[in-house]
Amino acid sequence: MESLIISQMAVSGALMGLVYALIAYGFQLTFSTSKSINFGQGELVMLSAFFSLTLLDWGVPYWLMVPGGLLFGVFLGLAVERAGVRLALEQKSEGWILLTIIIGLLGFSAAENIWGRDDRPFPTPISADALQFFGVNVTPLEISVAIGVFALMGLIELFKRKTLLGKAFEAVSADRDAAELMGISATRTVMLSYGLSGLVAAMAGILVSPITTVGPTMASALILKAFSVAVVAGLDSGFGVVVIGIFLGALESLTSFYLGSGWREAPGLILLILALAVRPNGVFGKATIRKV
Amino acid sequence: MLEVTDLTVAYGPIEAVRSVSFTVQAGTVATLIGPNGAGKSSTLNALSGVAPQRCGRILLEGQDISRWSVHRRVAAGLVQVPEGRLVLAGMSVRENLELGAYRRPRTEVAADLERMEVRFPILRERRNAAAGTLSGGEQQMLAIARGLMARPKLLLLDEPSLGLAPLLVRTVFEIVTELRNSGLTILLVEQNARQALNVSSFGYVIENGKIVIEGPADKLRSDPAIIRTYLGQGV
Amino acid sequence: MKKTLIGLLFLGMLATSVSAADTIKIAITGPFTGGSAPMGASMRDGAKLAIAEINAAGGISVADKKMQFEVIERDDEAKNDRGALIAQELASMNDLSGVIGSVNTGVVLAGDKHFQEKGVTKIITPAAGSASMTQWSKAGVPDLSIFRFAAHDGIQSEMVVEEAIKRNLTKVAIMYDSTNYGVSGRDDMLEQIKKQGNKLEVVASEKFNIGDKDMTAQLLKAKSAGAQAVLIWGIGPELAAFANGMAKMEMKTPLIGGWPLSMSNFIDNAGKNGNGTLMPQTFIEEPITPKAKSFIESYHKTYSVPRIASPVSAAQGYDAVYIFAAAVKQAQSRDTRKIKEALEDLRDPVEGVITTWKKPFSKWDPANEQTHEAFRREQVVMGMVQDGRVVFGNDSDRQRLIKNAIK
Repeated sequence: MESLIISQMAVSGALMGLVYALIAYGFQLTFSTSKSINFGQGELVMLSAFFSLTLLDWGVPYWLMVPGGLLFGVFLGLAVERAGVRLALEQKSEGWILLTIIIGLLGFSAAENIWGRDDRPFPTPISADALQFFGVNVTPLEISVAIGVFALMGLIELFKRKTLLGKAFEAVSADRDAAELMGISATRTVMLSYGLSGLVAAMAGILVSPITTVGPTMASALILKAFSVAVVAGLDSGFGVVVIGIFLGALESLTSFYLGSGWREAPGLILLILALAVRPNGVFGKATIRKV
Repeated sequence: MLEVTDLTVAYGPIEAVRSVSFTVQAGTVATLIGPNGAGKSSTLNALSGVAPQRCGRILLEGQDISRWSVHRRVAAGLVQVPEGRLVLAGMSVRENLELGAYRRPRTEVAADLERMEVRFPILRERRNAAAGTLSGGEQQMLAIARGLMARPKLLLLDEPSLGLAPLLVRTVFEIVTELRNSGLTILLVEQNARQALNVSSFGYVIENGKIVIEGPADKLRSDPAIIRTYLGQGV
Repeated sequence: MKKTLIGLLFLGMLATSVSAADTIKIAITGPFTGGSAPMGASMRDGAKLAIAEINAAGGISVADKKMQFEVIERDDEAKNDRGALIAQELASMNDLSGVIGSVNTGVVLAGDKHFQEKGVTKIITPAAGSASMTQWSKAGVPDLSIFRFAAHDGIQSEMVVEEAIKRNLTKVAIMYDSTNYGVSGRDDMLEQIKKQGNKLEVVASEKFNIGDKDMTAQLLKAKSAGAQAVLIWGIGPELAAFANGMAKMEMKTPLIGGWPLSMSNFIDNAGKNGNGTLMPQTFIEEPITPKAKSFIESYHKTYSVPRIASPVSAAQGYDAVYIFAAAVKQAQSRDTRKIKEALEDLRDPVEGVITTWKKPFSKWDPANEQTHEAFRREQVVMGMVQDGRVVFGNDSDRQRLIKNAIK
């Protein structure tokens, strides 16, 4: 019984952890190209979820809503880049930190005014009835989260490795000056990275909403965890965020079982502190030494 | 091909290059020589748009490009092979070459790739190896080949022989000669003044951010002051 | 110049007092936007329905004059600071006859002292937290202008425990949110278990936080300890997370708890997983009596809705207005103090939609806050979620109400 409980808690937690990983991956995308991240990423998750819910309310079928919601995320990501990041980066200032936070707050108020402060259910055709695997209960909904996370991250990684545009993306991440000298526009690549991170945020919103419901504060807890995951894993390892995300999710879940749910947030914060103290580049991060 | 007037490059309050003017004729090799820190690389970087240009005018084929972005200059045919090669260490040799042709129509790239691999057999051999695993000389070949993949009108070469063994230095200058003979316009920055003047038709000596001597390469080669300062030790 | 200005001001005051001469000013406060809006807005709409009925019938005769109700609405947004400001504003009006409202116990605690200070009569509905009334008994105030018209948590926890015992269960898990509301709910339930003969063994007692979405840990503890029912004290969204988590864990044990289990943000977010959930209710949206039928129909018609977002709040708002009107009539005055005295000693029964109210309140006794509490155990029934609405949980309750109505 005890081992069954542990596996049930670990599996439930790990599936949630994949959502942290996906959002953390969004941080990585923009950090790799521009050394900046969107501190309002959580609001992107939430706004995309609300928008997708509105599409469903308008009668758009679920499978058409998904691309619609994702496109909206891309649009939001681009808007954040244009309004909050580009100028600051051009002036080589850290202004993007404050600007992205402010844009996030604006998005939050907008959501409260447009959609209200209620948590609302997000209908989905995917069943929430439990299936049993070796005594562990998992719902198809949770499995869909795992599939969605892996599919999107896999596609983006494939894009980065197999297409010219994706390779240009990697080139800017690796060496901005060298990439520029090859005729690659770093500005456009940064735009692309923000678009992609908006896409990732929207996906996270669509995947997690049927489980957690949609509300203005739906992502505030998620984003903190995602941030921990990104920092602990390092800001340049897609593989790392998945491993750390799963690990943190499972750990949280077990902590809340053994120590009480009040301690749920503790492992993420402790990991964050440990990572910053011991391995500032992250467990999977590379020290940035440039070979000359 | 290239006409630079009163170019000043400044990093904040520090002026690295002060009001230099020079030209590069089409189909020739010009060289900038001078001691370490004289402003040679800053000049090249300002031409490609990587370094901040404070004032002056850069005309490429009569067009003022001084306000253009880096990648737009590349698209216009001004391509720099940077100091230190700056190959993308994590990507394969092949991918480095492909990215060199980022602004070229895809249909022409395959043929160019083939040409580069014929010209630099080592790149064919190590096609799928990560560029970071290549030796210094091989990386320099890759960097030059990558620059050529962009089909430049004007190639800026920044210290191509830096840190290479003597045998490889000779190879690099052979390549430069070959490129010159094929009609490519080149602006070469080198500490190795003797070799640089040998392949060039015109030379500029830059000291403390200013051009102090200029003239046809054969004249500079016999200038006693230059012999004393730059050609004395030889290579 | 100054004189004319004062003159004008005086004239203006005279004019307003003339135009207001024939109205009874009553304020309705509550959260009309935000997370508690389903309750606040339903309460307001129920109250306004009663007011419209009274006004349409010509108003109330006070000192040989027919007087109409005039409504002042204030949205406290469920925020304590807003609530305090609104209370200050209303308490400073000298021609206000009374206040009806408040959904959130925190808002009540922040604002009601202003009403009590100025002696303004207020009927709290539907806020149920015990502290709203015990704050006055603890302070020992000799005279109180605050009344409550809601099934307070004491009654609710009594019923929750009773229900579990009635179902012959012996092992229960208690879940509560970490707010004041949740913690005092847990204490009430534990006390009731003792009071009702220690027939229930609490095998797990687990806390959760506002905003928690994943309750697997708490539920697994309950499940592995062999709990036969989950008794819960919390608010809509987290309650829904429990119902959904129980479905995932294939826990078929009943979920029983406080009345927020009837909130639309529980019912909607839990969907079919909410079916069978039990909670105390003062009103069920079922036309079982002629009075209930006409109330439900006119509510649906007036506000063009197919169902009432919070039937309990709507019915309580409606009945509170009728009780207040009866007090005005008995006092033959718009004076808020006289209305208060009449409320403490209502002579005639008031026919409401929940029941026929006979002496709902009595003279305030600081040793017994029940004197200003209208609801007793018999006015409350067990409700059950069934396919998106709340129905009677026990048919015996239903039959009893029908019989009472005929009597």
